[in-house]
Amino acid sequence: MKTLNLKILTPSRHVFSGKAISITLPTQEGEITILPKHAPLFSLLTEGVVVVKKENGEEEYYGVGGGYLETDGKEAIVLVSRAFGQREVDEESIKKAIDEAEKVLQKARDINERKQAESLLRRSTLDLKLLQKLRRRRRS
Amino acid sequence: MNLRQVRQKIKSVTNVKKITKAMQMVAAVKMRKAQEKAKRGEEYRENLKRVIEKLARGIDRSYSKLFWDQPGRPLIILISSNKGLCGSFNTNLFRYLILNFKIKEYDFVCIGKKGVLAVHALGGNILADFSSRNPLASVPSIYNFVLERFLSGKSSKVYLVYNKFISTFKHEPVSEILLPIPKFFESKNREESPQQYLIEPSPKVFLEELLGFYIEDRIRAAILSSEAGEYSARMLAMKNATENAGELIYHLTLVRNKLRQEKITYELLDMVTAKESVEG
Repeated sequence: MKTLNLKILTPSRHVFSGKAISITLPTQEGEITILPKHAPLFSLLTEGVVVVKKENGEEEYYGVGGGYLETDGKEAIVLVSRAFGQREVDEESIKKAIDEAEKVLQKARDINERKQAESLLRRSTLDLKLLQKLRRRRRS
Repeated sequence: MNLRQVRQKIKSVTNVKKITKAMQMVAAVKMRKAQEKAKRGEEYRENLKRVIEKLARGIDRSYSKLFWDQPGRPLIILISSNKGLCGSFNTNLFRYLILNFKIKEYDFVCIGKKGVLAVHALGGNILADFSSRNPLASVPSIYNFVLERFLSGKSSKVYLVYNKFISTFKHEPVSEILLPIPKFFESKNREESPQQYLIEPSPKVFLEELLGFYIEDRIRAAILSSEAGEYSARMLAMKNATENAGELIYHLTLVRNKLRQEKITYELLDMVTAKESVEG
């Protein structure tokens, strides 16, 4: 079976490196799936969930921040501002973060605080989405 | 000083020595961690740069607003530390700042509490203070804040001023121009043509966004570099403090022994004179 060499990089670490059958990514124009021998492509990514289908058929999920994808059909490089694997998110802490952010938003004194809280809120909601998606798959 | 006081002093200096030793070791571990963190981002940085070089070939200054000079006051992003006890780390940075910039003509965005205090004392105008515990988490908001000011024409130039980590024993204050993007990206290999690639949503939007990532990453790299420098400075300062404490203990021990000897001699003398007077 044909595979792609996939790399997922963030500024703080190397998240994934290995072979993949397909990758599904959230781009600015909608969701796309990259298969081996895809035409050379650059695309901007938005915050969302990346699904990586590995060689053995297993799927891995990552919640990612904005970034871009580069592929030439053999290799795919995903550069994102942040990425969290499915095992690294836990519901309790996400909910806590959402609560916290909402609290800050309510009584934020200046623009900076507000912006920070907003981005935290956005990130946390995304993590929650990732978690829910995962759970649905498990059940079905 | 009498014997009891000297003993007390030795005890307290010993305690101080233990503390500085512990701080030194903590700083050493944290420095290593900060260095690793900076290293792990390298692959990201290189890939980003490679793609920008690939795509940015053949464009000129008029392509993006990020290359243009803007009206308004210049702005400095000053990265210092939140805590003290790190030797000349902050002082060197501020001295550099005073020597190279006319502080009253600049606006400031500060990361690090020490920088806020210094800029305030020097009469600079602080626009924002991002001295949170985790400076890396606030990189996106710093970036947005600075970019907005730059694009709306409120800030003419954006500088990064921080301590650059060179080696464990060396870090030096530097200033870099962040905006407008000063250096042009030049590609070395000319075989690959960007035309072969599909670019979504459009080349212009894509490159613009990429330059944004690039700027953001420069801020992040500067923070990491400064952090590693801070810990190395603290480690060295604490190492010196530990050595000085050791020396102090050595001298105090000499004084203590001398006093003890003196006391014994006086006691002996007393006994001898007492015996003489009784027998005589």
